Amino acid sequence: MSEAEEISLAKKTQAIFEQALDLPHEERNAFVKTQCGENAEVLAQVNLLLENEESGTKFLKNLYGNENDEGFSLLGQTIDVYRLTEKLGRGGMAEVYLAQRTDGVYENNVAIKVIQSFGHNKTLIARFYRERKILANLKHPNIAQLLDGGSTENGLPYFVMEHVEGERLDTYCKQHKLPIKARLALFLKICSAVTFAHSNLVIHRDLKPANILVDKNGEPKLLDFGIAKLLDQEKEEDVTVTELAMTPHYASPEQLRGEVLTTASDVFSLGVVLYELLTEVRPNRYVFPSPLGYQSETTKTSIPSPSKAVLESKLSKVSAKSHSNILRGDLDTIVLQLLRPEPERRYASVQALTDDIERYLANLPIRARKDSLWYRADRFIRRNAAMIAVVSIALVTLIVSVGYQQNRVIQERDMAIQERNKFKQTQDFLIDLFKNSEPGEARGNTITAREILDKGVQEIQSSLDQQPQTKSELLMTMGNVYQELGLYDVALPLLEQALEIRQSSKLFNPIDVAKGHSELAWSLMETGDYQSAETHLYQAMSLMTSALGEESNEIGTVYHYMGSVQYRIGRFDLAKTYFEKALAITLAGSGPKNESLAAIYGNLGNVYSNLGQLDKEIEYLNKSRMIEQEILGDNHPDIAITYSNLSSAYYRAGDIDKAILYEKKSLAINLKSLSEEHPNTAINYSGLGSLYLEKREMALSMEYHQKSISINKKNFGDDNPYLAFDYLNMSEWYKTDKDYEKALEFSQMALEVINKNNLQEHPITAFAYGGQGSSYDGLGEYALAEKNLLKGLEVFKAIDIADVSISNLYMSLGLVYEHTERYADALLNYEIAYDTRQTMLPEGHFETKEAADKVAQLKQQLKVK
Amino acid sequence: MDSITQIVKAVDNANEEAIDRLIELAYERLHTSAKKALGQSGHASTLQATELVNELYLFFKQRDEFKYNDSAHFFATAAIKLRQILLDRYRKNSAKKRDFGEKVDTVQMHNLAVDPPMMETLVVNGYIDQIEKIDPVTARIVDLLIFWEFSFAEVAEILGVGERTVYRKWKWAITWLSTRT
Repeated sequence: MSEAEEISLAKKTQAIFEQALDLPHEERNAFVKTQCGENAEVLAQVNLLLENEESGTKFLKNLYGNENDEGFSLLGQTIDVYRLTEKLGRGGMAEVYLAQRTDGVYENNVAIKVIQSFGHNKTLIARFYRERKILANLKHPNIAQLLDGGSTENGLPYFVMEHVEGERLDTYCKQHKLPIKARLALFLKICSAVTFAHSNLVIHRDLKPANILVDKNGEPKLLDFGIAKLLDQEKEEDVTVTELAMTPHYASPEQLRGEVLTTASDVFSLGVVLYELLTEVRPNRYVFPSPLGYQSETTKTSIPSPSKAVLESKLSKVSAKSHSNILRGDLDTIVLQLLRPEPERRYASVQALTDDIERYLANLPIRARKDSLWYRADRFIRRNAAMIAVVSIALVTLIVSVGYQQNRVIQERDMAIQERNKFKQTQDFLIDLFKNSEPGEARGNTITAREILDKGVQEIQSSLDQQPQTKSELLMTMGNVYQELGLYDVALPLLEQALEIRQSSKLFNPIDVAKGHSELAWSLMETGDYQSAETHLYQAMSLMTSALGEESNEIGTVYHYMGSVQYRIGRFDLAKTYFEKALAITLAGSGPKNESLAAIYGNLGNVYSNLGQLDKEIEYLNKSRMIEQEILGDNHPDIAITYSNLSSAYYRAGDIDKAILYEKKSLAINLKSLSEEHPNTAINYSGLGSLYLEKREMALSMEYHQKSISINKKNFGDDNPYLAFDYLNMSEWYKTDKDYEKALEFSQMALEVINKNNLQEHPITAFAYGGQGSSYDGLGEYALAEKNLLKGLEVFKAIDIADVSISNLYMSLGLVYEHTERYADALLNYEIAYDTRQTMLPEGHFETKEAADKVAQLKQQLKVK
Repeated sequence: MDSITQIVKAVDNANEEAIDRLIELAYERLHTSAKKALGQSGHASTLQATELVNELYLFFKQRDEFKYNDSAHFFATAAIKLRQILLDRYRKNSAKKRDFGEKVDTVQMHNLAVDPPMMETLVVNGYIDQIEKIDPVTARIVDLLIFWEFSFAEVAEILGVGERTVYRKWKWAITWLSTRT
């Protein structure tokens, strides 16, 4: 019978069998016969099943094997000089027996641990010997002492330990109804044993009440260093989660996640032990970090404080209440500090914990700090990577003198998913920061956000040298926050320092270093240092590519940054390539609605704008805006950026009023959510300046432009690239006002800034030459005018992008030729301008009409001649 | 703690926190049943069971981005992976046994003499996969009852079928299995 036939047969029999089950036994036969009809095979199968109905139950009994089977036993045998008298249990991969020396050398009972496995498991044997070695070195009154070791006749390794007769720590405390102070005294002894082990580079890794026995003298003894690990002598491959033989309930979050363990992990387990000692309930924690969330464990649902938990214990109401009163305050704080999910936020060492408990017992103030309610004060810290910067392209329309500064705003909110875990730690730091800056606690009156941040930086600089990872992460976050506030002079040194730490410490992997490079690059770009930014990003890219290949989420962020840098240098095709790479990775890696995606859409919109594809630009900008509004709400600075970009798109589409509307929407949000002096606000002002110039509201236009210049100067100094755009806008303004001297002056200032910033590849260079040329034209210096305009065209052609703005240069050139009575040349240039606009601008655009008029006028003139 | 049915309902309403709770719950249950699945009882198997469950956890962790349509989907994914892990383990064990050569001693002989537990037979022979081909719902029921040790009522809730159906299909499955083994 083929497999398909077998399956089909089984399906039929299953159906009939199931129906038959619902019938009383005596009716089944008849029912089955009717159902099966002529099909003898089905009938036979169903009957076989029905006959064996009972054997199913037997099957179940053997499901897990014989549950009482205790495996092999060496009971009664003698190993070396030890006679095994009693089986104490199984611990890990080994069996533990009570034994006595037969030669009378040692009177007391000993415990013998014999490896249970079949002798060929090298890992286990290695572990066993390692354990022996470790234990031999650990001599402490509160650690069960190793006495001897060897192999059995069968080659099973064993070792002999001091036998501790006693009770489990928790049982002992309960049965003796120990008061809290006595429990703490016991716990301190355990701490001293753990501290001793830690100072010998041994982590216990499985601290729990079952491994701590209290002997008849009331001395606690730590057992089972079976999975201890020599801190820096572990030469074997890293112990992974699957090999870890831990007890999940007591295991630290990092242990559950399978990360490299440090003594902080024992600190956590001690926290669980202490929690239970004090409350007689287990801390209600998720012992299984979510595969879906990032840190569902203990961070999502916080552990109730011991003073609350004890109320749920089995203690009588009265004693639970009194317990609770004792626990509230310092003990709550101590225990919760032990149980923090982030290792670096726990006590730095068991010694530090010991000190605090001793301080508590001596009625001194403890050092542990409470987690504060400022947890939700997240306005500031909600986003890590900053965003937002500014690049503007002046659309120098040389004839009609429209100097609309096309706002090119690049948005960024990296916040890649993989960053969020780390972000959590920094977030916690910032929370503490806010908490410590609470009025009253700090200096009794209100303090500004800036002061809080400055204080945070001080704290990071002074206190975190021992934790380079945290320090670097925090420096980076603070750098990003300052950057988001537009305070680049403060941000840069922090980010540089963060990178230096990463480069100089072995604790960081190449990805960390790459992130240091890319965050610094972003800030460098913000300040207009594109060359350095580009260099850092190339370094980040090569680090990430060799570590993760070319399509990791991490590298997506770097591509995004690189796209932004290329965009600002004016290499739009390259920018497009990088943004598209980033887009592909983001689309593949995360859901349809996230901030990175919105940013990339927005940036692609900007690129298309510069590549002259207006329809695509508006499409992408709107995609971006829709995602943003959904996830950010209506009043977020990012939405302001997109509004501003849409304004620019509408301007170029010829709809000035709509452009003004969007620019004002953007400005309103920025004034509300950022500040009057933020670079983004400057963009709004500059845009409005150009739009009102278009409307010939000269005074208003000038006011806006000057605001933009003063903000940009204040933020970035006197030579920053944004000023090039501002100056060109001013040049346009004066040209419109027919003050060509001034216009020339400003276009020359623009060129100076361009040269200082190495922006020769950016279209703005072409516009600056164009501006200079048309200023000369206004002054009647036609030769110079022609020379500059041709230079502008040359630059444009070298950049080789399809930008409709090139038509402005042709128009200006046409005008120069008209003025010098070279009408044929003038007509040719007007015609090229017309063709360009006709193809690239929406139908009926006023600029196209303007070029058409010129063409008609020149044709007329030539006819007359 | 919420009842399994409440959690399952929340999961089916795409509540992500509920999935976390479900995993927590699954972890506890699985830990018990994994001990049994490893064919031992008592303390010795605890560690192995922990390793097994941790391995399962790693699997989930690597699928961080993976979304579960509903709780049934989650359990189905977990069960398939669990069977894979068990299968690997059983295979490794038997490889170890064959590797003894001349060093076999009485202790080990004693171990070899024991019939493999039914769970092992089930996994090694791929019986659940065969049931899957005949009736996927039955396969899910077997998974949930054997590996997770849910009650009939809970399984009914998770799979969205009647309790009686669960019983009938289960009955068929174990009878069918007993005629094969």
